[in-house]
Amino acid sequence: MMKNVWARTERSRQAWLTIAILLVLWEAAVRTLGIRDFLLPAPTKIVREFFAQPGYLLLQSLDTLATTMYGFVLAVVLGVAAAIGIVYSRFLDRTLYSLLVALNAVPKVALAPLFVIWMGTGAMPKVAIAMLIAIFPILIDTVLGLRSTDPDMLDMARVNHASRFKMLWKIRFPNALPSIFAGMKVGVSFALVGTIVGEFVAGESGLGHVILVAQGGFDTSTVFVALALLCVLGVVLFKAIEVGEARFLDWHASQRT
Amino acid sequence: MPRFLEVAKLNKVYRAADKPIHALQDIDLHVEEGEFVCIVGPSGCGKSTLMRCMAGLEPITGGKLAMRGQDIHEPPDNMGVVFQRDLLLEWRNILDNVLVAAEFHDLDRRACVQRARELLDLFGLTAFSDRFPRELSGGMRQRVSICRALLLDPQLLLMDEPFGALDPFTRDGLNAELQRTWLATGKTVVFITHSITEAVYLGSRVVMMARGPGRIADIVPIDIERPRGLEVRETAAFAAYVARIRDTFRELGAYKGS
Repeated sequence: MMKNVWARTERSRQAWLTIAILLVLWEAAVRTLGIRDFLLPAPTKIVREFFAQPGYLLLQSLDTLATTMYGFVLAVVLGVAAAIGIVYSRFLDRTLYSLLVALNAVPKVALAPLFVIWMGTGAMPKVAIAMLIAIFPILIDTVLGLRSTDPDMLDMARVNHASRFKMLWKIRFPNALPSIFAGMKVGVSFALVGTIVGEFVAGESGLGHVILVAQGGFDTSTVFVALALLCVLGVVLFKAIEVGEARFLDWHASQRT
Repeated sequence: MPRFLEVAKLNKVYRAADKPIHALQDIDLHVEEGEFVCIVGPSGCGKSTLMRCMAGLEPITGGKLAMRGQDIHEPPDNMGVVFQRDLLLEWRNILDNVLVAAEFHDLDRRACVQRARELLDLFGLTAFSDRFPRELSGGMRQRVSICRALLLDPQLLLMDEPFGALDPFTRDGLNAELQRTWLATGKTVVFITHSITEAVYLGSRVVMMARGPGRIADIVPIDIERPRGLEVRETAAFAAYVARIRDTFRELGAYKGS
């Protein structure tokens, strides 16, 4: 039993070990070379910085997490709905899809100031940017997934008198799930990027705001604390999607090891 | 009294870029209720196209195609289809894969569970009803798809090379099972294959198709007593049928240039 646990955790043990070694090297380099804090703080200094104001930093993290989640959930709902429309309507395919692909070529980060002008500096523009950046991979992958349904499968449904809705819900959608999850994995990371960009330009709260304020005061240690927290957020969000994937795609070849 | 399945002067032409492709030309075929008709022919002879027309999946270009006097424009009621591939839904267990036919038809699932279990039992799949398709062999998967096609007790069963992808042992077993099921239920079966042996073993009549354009070359009634055990294939009468069909195909040039 013990041996079993040991064997199963081999991959994560290797990952943690790599991180630990890098941190030790970092700490050693900063100390021996006498690098000053405002250039590159040592890991221990960053940890101490976190414990100087843990409540504040966690609150800002939660703020960023909430904005990201709102943006991401909106992106999933709107992206999947738009993809269904595009797959079923030639008109939407020619208009909306072409338009969105063209819009995708615009660096969406550059639109952030525009949203602040339109929506002010509250949570709204941040959610909007997160959503806008996250929606593209989700939409494009969902369209691909819905379109790549086996035509024979749809014939099988047709000879059984399935309605269009049932073909969508019972055949196309489950078939597209692996693609949708792939899009969501990319999308959730993009949503976090969008949130930080929003916090940079719309300010007031969140880890992006923390970074901006700390930068103003050459408080490099706090910048690193915020970066570390962002890293944790990113990993947690990505893992959450993976858990969902393992739960809903247990039938799919990608989930078998 | 209209024929059970009537195909008269059926034509199917595909519009291709350069010139139209005549997939089926003047097909005449009448199927009586309770018959087991096998359609055999080389690749490209249009046998799958003919089945797709019968299933209402493909519009015909000309002629008549009717089931009990009703023209077939869309998939008719009272018809089950078994495709070349099993087309099981990987995310559903075996029982739910059979019941999907009822769900598509907007029927109450619960009312069909009993029937689904009986069918799975008939095909020796009871132990697998809550397993998933990936856990089953190719032969078992195709059995499940037959159960799905039979769930709503259709009068007509269309089968498009259902055992083509299976190994010979599994294929023999399924041929015997299919015959047994047919004898027990008296359904009308149209069975497409490119195995002459399989066609003669299963069919009451064997319809031979030729290609370029797809047409019926000959129809051979098979007068061998039922139930036919697998060993019937070693008899002289069986061999004579196979030889006759093979000779006709040879005369038609089916073995050349493919």
